[in-house]
Amino acid sequence: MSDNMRNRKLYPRNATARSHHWVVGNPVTTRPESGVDNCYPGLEFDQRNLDKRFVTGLEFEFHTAGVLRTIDPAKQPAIANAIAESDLQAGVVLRAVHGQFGEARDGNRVYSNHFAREMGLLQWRLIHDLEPGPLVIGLGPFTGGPEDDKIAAAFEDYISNAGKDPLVERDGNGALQFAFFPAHRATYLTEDGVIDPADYKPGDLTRSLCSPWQYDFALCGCFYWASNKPDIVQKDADSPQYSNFQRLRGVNEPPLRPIANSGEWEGRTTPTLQEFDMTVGWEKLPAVFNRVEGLAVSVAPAIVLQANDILDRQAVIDSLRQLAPVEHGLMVEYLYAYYSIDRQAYADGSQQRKVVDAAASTVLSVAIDEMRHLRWVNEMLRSLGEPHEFGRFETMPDIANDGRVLDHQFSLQRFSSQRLDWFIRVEAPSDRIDVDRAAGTIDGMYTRLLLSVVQGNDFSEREKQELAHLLKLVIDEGQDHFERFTLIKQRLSGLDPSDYLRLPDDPQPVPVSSPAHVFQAVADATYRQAIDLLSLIFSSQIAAPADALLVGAREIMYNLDEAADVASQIGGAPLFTLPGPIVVADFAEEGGAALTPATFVDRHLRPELEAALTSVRGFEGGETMARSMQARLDRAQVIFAELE
Amino acid sequence: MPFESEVGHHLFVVDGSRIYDIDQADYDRLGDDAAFADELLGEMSATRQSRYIDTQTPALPPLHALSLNVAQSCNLACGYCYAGEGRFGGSARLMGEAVALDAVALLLDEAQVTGSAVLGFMGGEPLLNRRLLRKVTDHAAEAAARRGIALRFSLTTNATMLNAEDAAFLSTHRFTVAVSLDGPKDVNDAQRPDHRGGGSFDHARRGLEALQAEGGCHVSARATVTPRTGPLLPLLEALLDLGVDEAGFAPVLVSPDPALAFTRTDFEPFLQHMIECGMAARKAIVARRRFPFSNFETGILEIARGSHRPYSCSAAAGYGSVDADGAVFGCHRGVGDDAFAIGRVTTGLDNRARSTFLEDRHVLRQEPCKTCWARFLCGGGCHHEVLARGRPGCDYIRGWLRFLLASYAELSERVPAYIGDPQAYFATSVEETNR
Repeated sequence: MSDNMRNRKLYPRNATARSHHWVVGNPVTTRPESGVDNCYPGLEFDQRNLDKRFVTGLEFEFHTAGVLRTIDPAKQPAIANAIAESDLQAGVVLRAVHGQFGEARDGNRVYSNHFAREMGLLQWRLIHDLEPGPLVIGLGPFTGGPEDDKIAAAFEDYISNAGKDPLVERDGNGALQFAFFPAHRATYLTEDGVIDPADYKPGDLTRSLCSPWQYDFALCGCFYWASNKPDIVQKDADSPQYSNFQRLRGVNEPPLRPIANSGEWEGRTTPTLQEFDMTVGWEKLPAVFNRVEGLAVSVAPAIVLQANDILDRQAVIDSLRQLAPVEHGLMVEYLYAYYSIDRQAYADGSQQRKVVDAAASTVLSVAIDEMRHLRWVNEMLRSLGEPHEFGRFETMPDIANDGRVLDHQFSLQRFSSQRLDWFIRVEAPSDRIDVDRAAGTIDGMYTRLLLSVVQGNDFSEREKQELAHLLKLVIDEGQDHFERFTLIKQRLSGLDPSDYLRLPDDPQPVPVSSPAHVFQAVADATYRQAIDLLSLIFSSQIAAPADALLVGAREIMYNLDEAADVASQIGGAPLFTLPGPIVVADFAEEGGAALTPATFVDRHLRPELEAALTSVRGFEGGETMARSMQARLDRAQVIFAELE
Repeated sequence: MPFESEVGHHLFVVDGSRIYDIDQADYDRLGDDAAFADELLGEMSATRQSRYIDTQTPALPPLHALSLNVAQSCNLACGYCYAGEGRFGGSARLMGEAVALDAVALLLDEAQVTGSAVLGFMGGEPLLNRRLLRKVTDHAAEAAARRGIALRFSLTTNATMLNAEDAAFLSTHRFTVAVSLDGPKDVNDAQRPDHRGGGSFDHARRGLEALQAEGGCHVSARATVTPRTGPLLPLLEALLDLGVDEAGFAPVLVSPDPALAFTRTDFEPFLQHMIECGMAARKAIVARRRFPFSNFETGILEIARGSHRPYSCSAAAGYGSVDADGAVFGCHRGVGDDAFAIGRVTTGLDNRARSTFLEDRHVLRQEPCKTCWARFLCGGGCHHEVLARGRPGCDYIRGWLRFLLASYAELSERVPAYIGDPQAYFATSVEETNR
């Protein structure tokens, strides 16, 4: 193309002509400032973060004032020479800008804007409007210094004299009075139209976003309800629109009507905490509950036990050794109650069926929690170097040894309302132990153990950590059990227990002539196997981690569940006959080799299960049950074998 | 192609139908040196950078519009009718329900891709098969709604049999109704007699009034022009006085009576008459007065868009027409003509036939189209007319387009709001604009 042609202009007229020439870059509508959400404080980025470097090499912070934070000596050597670090420390603020502003004033777009000290946001607004080109900036001290009009007059003099060199005025003590510098408006962008990565680092632009986790909306200056401003934290259809930023801060009284005028709004939202306080002390920010901001979250003071209430090491061990049989006994009581519920008693899809179903699930899940407690107590004993304990209580022990105890004998009872009341009583929380008026609950005992372990001197740090962790877990679950049983009681209140209960209280073995007998026997065998296996796993001679071994043991427990469930269905209640004391050492002597869980399954559990299952196979469904139970035993053995 | 208007000098670039404003010197030089256009356009020249239309046949689009020739028969006996009283050379027939329902199913199946479609009723005179028209419309509306397809309806009718009940039905379904009407009573009745030689204007007018009384339809008047018609402006004004939403002219090129079809020499006065109408429309638009001359308004807005296409219409591509027996043709004018056959409603579209048709009809394969500057505006002319008569009207088409190009330049300069949004432009009063 000739130079002559290069200067020629074609004006596109219709749509295709206008769109024909492809311009590299994004259309104006994609520019950050075009986003409705990108004004201060912005959702994608805070526009102020762009304008804080409106002069290359200087960085301002536009908030209450426009504070000069840093000077880059490489980019602004003259200013860096004139303004000392001590000036910056004392505070230097923007007081005037002379340049070409986007909006005309009296038809003239080049003029000076003078700023009072505390108008940082207005400064930012005007500087945002500043167009590329030469400009003059006027700086002054953050405190002290000449009157506003004197700085302004001096600045205008400097402009009219077309000052090219920096002008710095100090008082007799060397304190900065004002400083004027010629500069250029930074363009922010590279030649490709990208925000210059050399000037803006990752995180620069997104700093101070309109984000709940940063500013708590205390100063949220926007109410852009039509878009996605998450101001409204709680929608209440029955009351006037109520936005978070409208609430009175620090006063326990929600506004009952929307704020309609700015004066009222300003008055109501004057924050007691500024951004700085919020950023530094975010953990202390009060939470808003039920539309009321709490002054602080109430936290109960830690309980400190009296010296003579702290249990010593042996007392803790003795308590754990007593707690294990309690957990075991409760677990079995819950399980029996669970099997006594006939989940099919009501019509499929009926409301009663749902209620009974939910109750059964809850009882089972609490029983499983108790199994876990039994395990945790045994883990605690093990971590203290003590032998395991898988016994079961007959009479509820007086663990605290103070004569206050829940009067209860172990028994297998149906899930009657009396039994449910007992469950609620035994699970009642007592996370604040009152030694003088001890509730006598299990939960209270765990709390006392926890405090004794943590506050006493009888345990190593490692032991304290391990025990405290497990004790807290048990305590937390106890609270949950109490609430769940209480809820069940409410929900079951409209139903007649005789409609959905099966099995007798205090069951006895059914006659040998009854088909249920063999299933009852299998259930008993599997219960025994589960306890035997747990005893082995928690014995000191097993090196593999208990966690992994318990995965295998769970298979045996599924066998127990299947056998107990089938027995219950045909009228043979699971008896949970406690096996005699387990002496693992007896097994260890066999064949001279150490007994492993895998060999234990092979040599003891498998023949024992097979013997119990022989008579089951003859009954309807018996063969299927036998096969599935043997398969579980196989799986357990595979799991154990892999761990060896 | 350089062209002048009252607002300056312009360059029309065939590739992409782009219009640029140029200065007088460049305009003068372009008159002598066509190659200069390339130099002037630089990198925007078609020879260096073409991205609009090439010789490739476009991929077949799904069917968007289907017309049903529900009555291949007519109550009028217009001498110029290409369809020969709607019979397309055969005997009079009415479409049966099974064919119509199959056709609707075909259209909706095809339109499922884009989610919108047009179902048209044609003839002959479609109201001769009124019962079917209503039944099919109701069925199609419901089926389309069920399938989430936005279906619009159109009807081409002589309106002479259109009663109040028809009008209410058409209005309910918001039909676009094209009424064939050639002008005021004397002109119309001379050209559009019934079988006994009586006039049809009064009947058509009553039908039109019934439609207008309902108000739910978009009504256009379509006037057929023969070499004997003469000045058009009085006809146009007479048609617009009837209160139709728009009116336009179509010259006869294919007619059973050769005396009624245009020859090359007939086009010259026709162009002058058309331009006379166009200037009246232009004047009205500048004055913000509605004067809906469809040939003009459509042309202006297409040019504003930079419309460019390798075909004159969407025949055999997005459009098809079904005869009474269920055969599908690329266009209603091609009904019964094997060259236009593209399938059957029962067996579906014959995509090979459609592709072949489109390949053959591509404007860059037509002579003398491929060297004509108007090729992508015109698209090569009506396939039916070209196949029957060749291209006797090219000078007229170019003349009319040249007039439209200049008119566009003037309107876009003087009343850009009209180009931007004609509806909004006319909805705003002159006083509001001056305020």
